Amino acid sequence: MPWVKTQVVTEGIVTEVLVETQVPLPVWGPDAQLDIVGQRIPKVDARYRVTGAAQYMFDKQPPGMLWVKAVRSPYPHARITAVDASAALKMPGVIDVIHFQNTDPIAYAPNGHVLNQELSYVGDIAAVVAAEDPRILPDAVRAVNVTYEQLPFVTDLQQAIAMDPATAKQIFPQGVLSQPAVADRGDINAGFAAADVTVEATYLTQVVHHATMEPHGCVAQWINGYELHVWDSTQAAYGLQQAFAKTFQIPDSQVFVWMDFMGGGFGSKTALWRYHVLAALLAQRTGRPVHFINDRREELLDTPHRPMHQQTWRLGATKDGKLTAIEMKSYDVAGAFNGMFTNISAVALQLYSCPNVHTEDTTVFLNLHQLSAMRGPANTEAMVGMEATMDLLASKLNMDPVQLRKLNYATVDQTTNHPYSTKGLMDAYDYVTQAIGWQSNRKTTPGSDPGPKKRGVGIGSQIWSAAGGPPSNAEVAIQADGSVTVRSSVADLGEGPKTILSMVAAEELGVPLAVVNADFGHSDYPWDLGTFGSRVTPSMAPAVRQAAYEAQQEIFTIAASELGVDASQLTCKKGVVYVTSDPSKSIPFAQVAALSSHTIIGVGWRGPNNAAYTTESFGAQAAEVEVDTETGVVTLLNLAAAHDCGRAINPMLVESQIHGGVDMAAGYGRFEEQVVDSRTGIPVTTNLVDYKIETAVDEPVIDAHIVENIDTIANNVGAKGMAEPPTMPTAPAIMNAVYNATGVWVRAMPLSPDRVLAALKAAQPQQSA
Amino acid sequence: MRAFTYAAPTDLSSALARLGAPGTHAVMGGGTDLVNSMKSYIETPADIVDLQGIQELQALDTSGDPVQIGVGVKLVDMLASQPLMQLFPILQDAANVVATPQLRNVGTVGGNLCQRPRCWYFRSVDFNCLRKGGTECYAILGQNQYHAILGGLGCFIVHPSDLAPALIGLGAQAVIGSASGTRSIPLESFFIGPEVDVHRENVLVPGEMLVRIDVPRPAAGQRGVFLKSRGRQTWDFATTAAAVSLVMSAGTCTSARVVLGGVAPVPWRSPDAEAVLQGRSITPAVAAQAAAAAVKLARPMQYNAYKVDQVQVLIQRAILQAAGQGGS
Ligand SMILES: Cc1cc2nc3c(=O)[nH]c(=O)nc-3n(C[C@H](O)[C@H](O)[C@H](O)COP(=O)(O)OP(=O)(O)OC[C@H]3O[C@@H](n4cnc5c(N)ncnc54)[C@H](O)[C@@H]3O)c2cc1C
Repeated sequence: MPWVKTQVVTEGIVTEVLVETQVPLPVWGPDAQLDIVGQRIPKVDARYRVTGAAQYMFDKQPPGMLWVKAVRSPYPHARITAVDASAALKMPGVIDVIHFQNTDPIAYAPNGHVLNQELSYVGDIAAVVAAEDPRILPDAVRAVNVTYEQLPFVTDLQQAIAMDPATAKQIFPQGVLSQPAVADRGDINAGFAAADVTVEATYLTQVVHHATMEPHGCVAQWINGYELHVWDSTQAAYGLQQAFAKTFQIPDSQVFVWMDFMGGGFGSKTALWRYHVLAALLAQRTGRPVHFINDRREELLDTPHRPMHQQTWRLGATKDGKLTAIEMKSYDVAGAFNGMFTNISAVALQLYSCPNVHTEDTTVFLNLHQLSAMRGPANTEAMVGMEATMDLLASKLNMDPVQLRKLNYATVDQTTNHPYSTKGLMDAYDYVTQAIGWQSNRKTTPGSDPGPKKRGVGIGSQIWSAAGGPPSNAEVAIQADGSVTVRSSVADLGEGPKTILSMVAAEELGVPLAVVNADFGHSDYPWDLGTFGSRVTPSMAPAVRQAAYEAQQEIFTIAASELGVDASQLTCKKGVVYVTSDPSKSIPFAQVAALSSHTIIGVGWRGPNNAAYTTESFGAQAAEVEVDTETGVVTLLNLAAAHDCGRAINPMLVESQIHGGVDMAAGYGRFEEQVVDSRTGIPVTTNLVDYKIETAVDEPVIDAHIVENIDTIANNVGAKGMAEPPTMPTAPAIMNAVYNATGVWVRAMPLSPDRVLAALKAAQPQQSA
Repeated sequence: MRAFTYAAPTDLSSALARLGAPGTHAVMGGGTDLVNSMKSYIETPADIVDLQGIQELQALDTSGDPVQIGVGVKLVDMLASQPLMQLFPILQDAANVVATPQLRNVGTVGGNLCQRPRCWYFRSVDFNCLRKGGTECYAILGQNQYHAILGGLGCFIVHPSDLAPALIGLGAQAVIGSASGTRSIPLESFFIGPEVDVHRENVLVPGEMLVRIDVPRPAAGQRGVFLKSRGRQTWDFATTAAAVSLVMSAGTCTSARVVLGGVAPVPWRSPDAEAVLQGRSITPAVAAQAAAAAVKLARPMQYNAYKVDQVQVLIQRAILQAAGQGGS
């Protein structure tokens, strides 16, 4: 098939990929007769997860293995002047201690080298201890005597903003503030000049952690001295293979990365991190397998996070509610190193129809660990400011906030003028407002409930790149007994690719789901870019379909000779191959497979995207809260979420994504935050008591609704990406609901009792003494 | 974690004898706090005396006066004791909101009362704070949103136990044992603030442990309420809490105890608030007056002023509920 260049948008990042056009298969449109796709089927691997049979990275403990633990900087910025490991090396079972002085420098993208003399945040790695027994490690780590020279630092955003450039350059060579990245559409000044009403507000969104149940870690082993084997909790086995190969200067083919089961990644496990390199390096030095796993404190200090922003939004509109101007200026905190996803301008440019938009994103460097993608990066944060300011505008216009949104509904992608392949946002608004009882529960006068406990409702919306795209590859192998293996390096993080891609393979092949086994997460299987950016379903499902189709063609060729017809006359359904025009002429699929003298392997890949359209997923959520205005406690009573994901290949799993996303973001909105002691630069939220994730008790009643809107343009299965979008509308919906309940804006997240009480108090008319 | 020796005696006297021997010992109830403290090197005992095998510490006797609660009683068993919960609904209020079901299944009454503070500076291995032998309380100029507004002197921890204010509200006695015998003191004087000793939270000295809590049987007309405010509705310590126990007679309050949690380094009894209630019939205005009296001396820091308002609300609500005036 011909090769073409196609544009791929992953989490807002645009790339161009050269790709072979796919074998054209009939699109599964709204009328397609499907047996398995579309069914509510429990996850195929759920049994292994809940019975404890599933093997996670931690469970890999090859004989002779060493355990390691890092010696971490207690200072936010320091230079190592000496490392004395002699006491640690005398401890029983301690085998090796490595640091910048006794190892060759290994390049590592974010901060120069894997082991550095200069350390840039508390928790940064100064040295690593390897020992035979993990129980000695905490004591051994304390026995490594590192002498530091403390250097100037900053961990507070306001201090950084106010800092003079000369001081800033002593902390980071590039200073603490970047030049703003500016994006413009139309003429922002003209837009505000045309406005009858202008509103402005500033929001603080905090650092939150991925807080994965399974910590970050890996087991590395060199086999025969030249093959590197790694068991990892990674979202991108194939990418990791390449990164390992580059780091250790060996061919990709000598690196094997395995990820069978994962306990959560959410964007934090997509890259090669230092622990990977350190484990492989220690394995090389000692000739033994090495097991590196963070404890919870290390997770909260030295894994990346969702960044902090100070966003200022200004909206202009005509008196009947048409947006004339959107301006967004944000300080985006990168941490000590720059990374992707600092810039949050996309929402301002895309969500609402508006001719004049101006955004400025200023990257801020602080002595904290770096950010990374976290479930819906950038849009989740920006949606807070965008959507809360829309409600501010609605109140100024004396208009229903949902009506204001509908009035400014974008029917085309304003950044390219392409139409959307599908857009179900209007339906989502209608569903959630109905479900939350918008008409009766919205306070037309915010804060009007009598008494200290006040209720209100709020809305939030969402837009997110959801087309997916290449590279995604798969092979479908038919075993001699007719069972089927789907292979790909794609990772199942728990959200269900093993299930839905098995369903797609079974559907295309016409065999029962039970005979299909998805074998994923191995780097030496056909490539997949990785499990992030809500890309797996729209990228992998077409690839698996094609691979299944190719394998089926071989099955048909063999069956055709048995049945004495042409292969093109055959159909397979429910595990039986039959002549389409005469189903009485048939042969079981398994019997055909047994006849083959060679392994039947179909290969499939993801083809190009449709360049004439933009494919995004859309959704809306409505929250109902009760605010105890005397204690500041915000109870999230109900949350209705409606999301347009194209075809729901397995509605049960889509709903489960909605639940998971809402819960994560309900924690973002109300509880979670990294707190840093800015005098010392030390984060104090380093355990899961002080770092507060949402609990089941705090969970709202969630009404998860799928706006099914089969997208026949996006790809041949009709599905759009869905994993990240449900985190986006939740926090602003809560913020808007708290305003509706109390009549007071709480614009610093999370909406914890102290912040709510402070805002309520500040809004009170001064009481006479 | 520092290496340690471990013993699991089956009778109290051998436990006490072991505690009395030279060396640093720690007694272990459920271990839910102790093990964490050891992992973060806050506690580095050379020897652990596990109390879980000692039957007599697990006794819960509601038949006499006082009611006797062994320190080894698990929170879950306390909650499961119908007679205890009927006698003292305030203990149900309090025990029900401690930590999580999982922790209540393991945690003991003694461990709850003797748990170490939750101050994030104290708990962090990165800070050598005053309480851990350093020279400074980092909360004073730092992130003090969860810290003390009352009774902080040099150190601004808050006492983390939910049971303690409720038990003090009931006038409980702490029975302390050592190799040389037992003594009984009011539970409120069991706890000590930083002005007495900034390195510990109670009067226990090496060789001693808490063996029992004695609670006087309720007087006629006695009713207690414990209210706790927290961010999350489980698995969270109190931002503030209030335990109020009133004896009401013919519409008049004849005796009152008001004890606050989450606001001071010790469970904070407020004689000023009690004095307001004494001899009065309880109205919202009286309750508000008592609440105001309780925080008269509050000295909030940069981030914890909200506690002054929040705890007053809890005190008012608890007073009104204890006086049978319902509401929330
Ligand atoms: C995540 C988490 C959340 C929590 N939330 C709350 C909460 O909301 N409210 C609340 O009240 N508590 C809370 N706790 C505390 C919890 O209730 C305690 O961990 C538990 O009650 C301690 O009981 P334990 O038996 O496990 O104590 P242990 O861990 O065994 O002991 C705790 C401490 O007390 C000492 N000790 C134990 N028994 C005695 C004794 N008889 N005499 C003298 N010293 C003794 C130990 O040496 C140790 O220092 C929480 C704890 C955790 C870990």
